[in-house]
Amino acid sequence: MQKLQGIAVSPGVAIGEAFVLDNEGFRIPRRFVARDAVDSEVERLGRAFDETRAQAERHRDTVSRELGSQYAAIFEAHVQMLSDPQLRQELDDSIRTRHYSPEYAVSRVLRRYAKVFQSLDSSFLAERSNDIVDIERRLLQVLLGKPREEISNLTSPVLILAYNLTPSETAALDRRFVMGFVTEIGGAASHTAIVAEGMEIPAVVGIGPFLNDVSGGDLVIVDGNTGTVILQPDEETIARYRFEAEQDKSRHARLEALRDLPSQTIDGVRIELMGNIEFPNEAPHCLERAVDGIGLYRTEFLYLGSDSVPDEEDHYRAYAEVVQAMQGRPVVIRTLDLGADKLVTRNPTPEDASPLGLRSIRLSLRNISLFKTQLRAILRAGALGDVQIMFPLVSALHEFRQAKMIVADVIDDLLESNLPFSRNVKLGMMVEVPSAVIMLDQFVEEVDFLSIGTNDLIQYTLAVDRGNKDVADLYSSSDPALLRLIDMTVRAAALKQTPVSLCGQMSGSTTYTMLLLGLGLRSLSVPPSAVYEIKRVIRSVTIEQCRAVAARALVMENARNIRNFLKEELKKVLPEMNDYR
Amino acid sequence: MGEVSVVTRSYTVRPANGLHLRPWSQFVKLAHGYKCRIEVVKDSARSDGRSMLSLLTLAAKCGDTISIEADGDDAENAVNALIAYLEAYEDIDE
Repeated sequence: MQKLQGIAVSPGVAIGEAFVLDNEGFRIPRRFVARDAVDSEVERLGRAFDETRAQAERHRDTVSRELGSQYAAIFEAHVQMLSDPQLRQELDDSIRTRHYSPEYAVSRVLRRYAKVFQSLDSSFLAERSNDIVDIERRLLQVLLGKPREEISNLTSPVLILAYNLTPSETAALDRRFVMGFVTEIGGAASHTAIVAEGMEIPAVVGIGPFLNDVSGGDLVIVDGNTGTVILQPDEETIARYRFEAEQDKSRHARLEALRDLPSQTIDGVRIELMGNIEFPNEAPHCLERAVDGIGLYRTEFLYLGSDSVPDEEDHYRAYAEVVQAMQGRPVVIRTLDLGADKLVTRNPTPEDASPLGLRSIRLSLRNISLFKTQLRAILRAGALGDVQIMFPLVSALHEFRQAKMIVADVIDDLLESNLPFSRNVKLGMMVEVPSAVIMLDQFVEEVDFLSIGTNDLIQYTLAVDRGNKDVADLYSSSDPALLRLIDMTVRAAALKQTPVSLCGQMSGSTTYTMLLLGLGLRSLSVPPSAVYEIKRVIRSVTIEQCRAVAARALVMENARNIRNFLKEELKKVLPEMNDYR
Repeated sequence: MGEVSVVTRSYTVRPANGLHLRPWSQFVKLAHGYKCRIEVVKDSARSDGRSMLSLLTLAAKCGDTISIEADGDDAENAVNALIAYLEAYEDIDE
């Protein structure tokens, strides 16, 4: 048993088999297979041999045709090695009796042959060990397939253990079989955290190097409440965690009683509760929890996980699914919020991945046709319900104006088509760059709504790269500078009665609910998994209490004190509340 | 079932490079054409006559003597054909 500690980013407990990805995204073969999988694994090995042999035969024939048969001898030898009955027998035996995985068996047995060849006192034969290595590599390639296909072709529930999960990897995941995530790097606002929250599965990130200690198929426990990961747990630990997982379930069942109760404070102030989603299939999760709408629909997945740029129909299908699922409730669709490094049409440069580089609205404004494709689809989905458009990373007013003009262009284009669409879609922006907060009195003259994105606002205010573990301790939702920026935003929005919401991860944490209400926010957009807990806090406080909390927090001087203070205040109201976020 | 008679014939390796990929892969290919059990023996080492990898591990060098053993219905034909193949085999530069 080995215990590791990382950053808890999505609550819950999961116990299951490890699925290990190394830092190139290649699957590290599991070492053992289950007893009842032996037959199918032997068959899988057989198919891999057939395919690899067919490859070698094709090579042989091509080389023979183009260069002459004497040159094809090496491939003929490969064909014969792949037809070797003794080799097959050895491999089948190690799968059947030792329960080795085909990958592991191939590696072990062929490496042993390679060693024998190297030890032979004939330099000519010693060189043949390269042929063995080549055959091993070919077999493994066939057995493992393309790494991304592997991730998308999961067939049983697993915990994903990786160096880091890229957006394209998480987009390719077959979500039905993923029970949790553990990554070596990453911080509280990493992509893995957001995806895990959306999927409502536990996740721990920033655990440091550990992948060498674990092989695929090992039993692993992920505790997303405390950030603990346990490799090869003993029976007692498993039992304890199974109990905890059961308790989680019953706590969740109790919270479900809140479903049909209004989201309002003790003194009767209604708080709008919206859901954050990334994938269309999360919309029903939101509706189940009776949210008021989708406050943040991230659309990045459309651009990731496939090798081509999405066309208008790809966009439209996804948006229509969400809008229809929400049955008339508002859906705020955020336009592309990625760095240029994620665009398949471009050879990425290091600058492309920079949080300060060409990304989000900047990228859209430089790629007008890409932007228009997305806008057309959104406006068309507007015909199906209440759709609003939100632009990310707006740092100057001219960017918002330019985006608005492009929307007007797209409306003109759509008028010429016969497609149904809405021309009265509201246009808003994320407040996530300090310059936007500072200039907000000008923005509110032109925007229909605002949504504070705390994840990036923290990053840009504190100059802390949210993906960098080395500075993760400087990244905090409790930072006094952030509190002041939120306060300024709410005040500026009030000048024009511009609706303002908050959709960063901060909104999903019960620690901050009282603070946010006290700062004047009346709309929060949270991960679906957090809806009930946040509602519970809302229903347990008065606005007056919240204002006192906010007033006090605004004059405190450091993040740690503020966080502790907020936790204590929450405890006073809800003593049994455990905030894991 | 009567006594199974084992057919054995030996061969001394002539090619300067010994027996390696090319001769053994042809050997194995030929061996697959017969039904009988075929084994190749060198000193105390014994290898399946259809296993490319284990034949290579015999490391049969120029001057070594190996013997081919077979039993089964077509053993006689198999051994004769295999020996004939090896006798005719000539090194070419690889």
